[in-house]
Amino acid sequence: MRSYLLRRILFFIPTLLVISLASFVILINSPGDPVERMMQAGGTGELIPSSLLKNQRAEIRHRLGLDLPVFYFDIHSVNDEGLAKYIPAISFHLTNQFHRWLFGDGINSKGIVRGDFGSSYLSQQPVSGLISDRIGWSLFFTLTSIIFAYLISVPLGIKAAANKNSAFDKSSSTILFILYSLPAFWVATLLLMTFANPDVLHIFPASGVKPVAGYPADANFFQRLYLSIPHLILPTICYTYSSLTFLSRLMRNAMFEILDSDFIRTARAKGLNEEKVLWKHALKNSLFPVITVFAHVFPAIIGGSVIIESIFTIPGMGNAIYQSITTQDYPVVVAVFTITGLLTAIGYLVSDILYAWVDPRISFSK
Amino acid sequence: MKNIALVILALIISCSPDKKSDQQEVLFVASKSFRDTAATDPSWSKENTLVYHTISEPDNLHPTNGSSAPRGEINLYIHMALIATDLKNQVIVPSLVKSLPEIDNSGLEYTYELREEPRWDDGSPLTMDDVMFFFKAIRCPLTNNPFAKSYFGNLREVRRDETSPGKFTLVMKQAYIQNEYFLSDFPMLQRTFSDPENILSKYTLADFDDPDFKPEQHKDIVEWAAEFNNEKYGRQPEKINGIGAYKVERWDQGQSIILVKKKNHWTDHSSRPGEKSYPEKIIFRVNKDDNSTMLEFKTQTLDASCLLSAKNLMNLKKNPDFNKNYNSTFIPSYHYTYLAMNEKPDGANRKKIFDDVSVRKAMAYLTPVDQIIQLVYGEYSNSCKRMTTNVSPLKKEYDESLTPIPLDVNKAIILLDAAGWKDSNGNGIRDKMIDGNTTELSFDLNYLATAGDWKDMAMLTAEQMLKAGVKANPVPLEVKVFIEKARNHDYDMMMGSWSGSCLPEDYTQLWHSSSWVNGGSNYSGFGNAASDAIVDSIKSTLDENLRIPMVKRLQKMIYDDQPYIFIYTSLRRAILHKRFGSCEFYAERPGILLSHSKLIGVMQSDDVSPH
Repeated sequence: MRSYLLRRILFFIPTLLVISLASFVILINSPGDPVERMMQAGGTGELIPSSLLKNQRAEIRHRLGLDLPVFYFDIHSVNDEGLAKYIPAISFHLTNQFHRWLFGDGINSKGIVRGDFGSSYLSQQPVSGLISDRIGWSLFFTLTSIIFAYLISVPLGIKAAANKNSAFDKSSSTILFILYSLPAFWVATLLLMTFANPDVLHIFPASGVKPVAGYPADANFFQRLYLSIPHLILPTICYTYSSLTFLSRLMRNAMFEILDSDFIRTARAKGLNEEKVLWKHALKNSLFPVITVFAHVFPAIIGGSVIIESIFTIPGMGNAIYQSITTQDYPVVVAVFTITGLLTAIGYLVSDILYAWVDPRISFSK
Repeated sequence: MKNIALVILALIISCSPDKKSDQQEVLFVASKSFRDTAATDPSWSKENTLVYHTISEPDNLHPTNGSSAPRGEINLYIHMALIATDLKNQVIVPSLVKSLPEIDNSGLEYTYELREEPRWDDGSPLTMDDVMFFFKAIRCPLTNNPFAKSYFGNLREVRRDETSPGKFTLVMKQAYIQNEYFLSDFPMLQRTFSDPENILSKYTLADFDDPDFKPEQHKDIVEWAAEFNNEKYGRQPEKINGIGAYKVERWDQGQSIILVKKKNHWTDHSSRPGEKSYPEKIIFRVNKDDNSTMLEFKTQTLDASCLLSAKNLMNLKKNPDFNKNYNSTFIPSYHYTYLAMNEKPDGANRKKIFDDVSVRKAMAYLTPVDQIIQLVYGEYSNSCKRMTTNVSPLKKEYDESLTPIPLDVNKAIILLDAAGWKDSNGNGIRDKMIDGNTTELSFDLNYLATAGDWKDMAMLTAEQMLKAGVKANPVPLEVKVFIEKARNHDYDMMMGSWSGSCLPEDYTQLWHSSSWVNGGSNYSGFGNAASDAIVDSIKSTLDENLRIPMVKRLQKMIYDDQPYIFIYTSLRRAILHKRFGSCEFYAERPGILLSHSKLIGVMQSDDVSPH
């Protein structure tokens, strides 16, 4: 088990290098130019006299290293004499964008191999700081919604499977199907217009994750949480409902297949009561698809949700990623891609471990 | 004269907009004021804190290094500049200097004198030491402020007057219309805060202009610049130092930025009227969602905004509670929307359709501008004015003699027929033989997919054009692709918008042919030797009496050439809670001066009469 884990973790390193290279190449080749975006004066379309802008593009490009070649290597002969001149050799040069990205510029950044993702082109903020400022709320909403989704969907799915074609099964299926088909922006707006609207019901605030003036300076964690709870309920519902519907359908179908299995029939024939059959024998075996889904949860931690974050003004990762992609803020985008790759790899590792836990037949020895 | 009379009439009437229904607000004025309300409502907060809506955060709050619009807006309250923009009168006014500069006859030397009153937070006065440092810090090649450098590039030297300690002369490289204006609203820097070791005193502006000067080889300046550029000076409240009346108390990422008024700030006792600030706190609250913002106005969570959508402000204005609690209006801005046509298509990727001025004029006759304005501003469309040329109708350079081109399908048909575009194959779309090929009058109409009403505007235009056998295909594009296509001239027709200001404009960027050749913002390809000569003359003619006729000639050239179909000047959607008095909204950005908003019913220091 330990050697298997070590092997998997070591495999992360080349995986991450490939992810960073792939994301770097995709971004460099995407349409548009980050310098031009920066010259749009913050997206306002403001006119800066072009006669005064002559050298500014070049200056920014040089500062960001965007005037360097993307990759720089040459192919030449090993030697100019004899047969050796027909043997090719490749020389890599250090003055290129990818090298700078990996190892830094020696002044302002140390490079990603040393854990430094550089600074955002737009805000000049270190990427690590930008992510750490925002990942907290994404993490909170993702984990909270997952916990709620699992807590509700697993019993719901089991009950529906255990009572197949009953009124409960049919009605829950219909409701879940309708919920699943509703787009997040629509549900979010509907919730706002219903529960944050003085013309209908004014129960929750319409925006943000904390009071307008922020938390009192001396408030402790629980006081802050208490002040934030009204702000968190509507977004949590939005984050939860789609995964809830998906998971409960998944659980229902998995459980339904298991309940048809021979070993369940045997358990029933032995005279075990239905509760024990369901919760002790069937549940563990029906968790495979749910565990598979869990592997995808990890990358979602950093992904956030652009739509929900925008509607409820949540300072999460979704908006930061969206903005960095549209403005070609390469350091932020590549950092996010790389971290997402790492989290995906961790997610798969965790789900593999969970498979072994629920099914002892799965072994890590080979 | 006619203009002046109109403005005076407009101002008189605009002083009491509450006397008539808002739908009747048809005045096109640069500022609009509201009377203070007579009675307060029990539901109104008594806190002297103004919560202002913003849709995005600033990139940072560094005094010189940054570019975003919210940054400039917030910095207005933290910092002060040598000269400022008077939003009401749309002119520049002295701020940290005693008066506007004395300009010598060559237009190259601008002499200023510092005021004695301004004090930094540590109690020290503003000195020439700060001024010299300010210019050097911006011009230093290692400081990360390319936008500021763009404006300061024409500065050759700052000459101190040895006989008068607060007097200095800016010596410019060339006579340029913006020499007098480039300092407006640029935050002043305190030397002892930003350069305690006085490193920059060892260098001159001439050093920074010298192409042989290699700053990287000077360790002291490299270290100083690294510290000056550090993002903490634009993000950590205690590191943001300004001479303005407010300081940053807190920055909650993605939520709000809270400014708090400094105690006993020097402007509290300023000799200049209008310099005093009133709210104890100003909170810039981020809300990206328009519906959620509307709800925050319904719940009185927000006090002010200039960014709510026109649609939602129109909805709110139908709500009696909203009108009871808020002053709100639509006021013109210097932002305008247009349809640009590619005058110089390559003939391979882009068809040679709009290289003919008759076709461009026909397109203008086919564009339903009034319907578009109606679509965007509904019952408030009367407050919106059509653009006829590249100059805002708010400016004195605007040529009133150029009349808007009306929607007239028959005239368009005549022009297209005369230009040889006829429906030869009976498929309903006009065509013409170009370079030996039958070319249909069918083209892409690019627009930004993310821009609110633009899809509807593009569809409306395409529908109207089809009536004359012209097929416009609306193409929504993501912003990066949209800009790249425009810059590379890879488009037929595109819908775009520009922001401007009340200050004199250099037309090079948009209308000089060099800006088409070098990938600038002359997307349409307008320009010839005559128009380039006028553009060049405008930017170096400081005498307004000579410059205005030139600008009018340029407008006429653009009008006759129709590279753009000018659509409308955008209306700013201005809202301020009635619990704050002295309510005034402006055409110039940011549209409202929050520091002037005075809480009604609370005694302020300047309410106490000396008698």
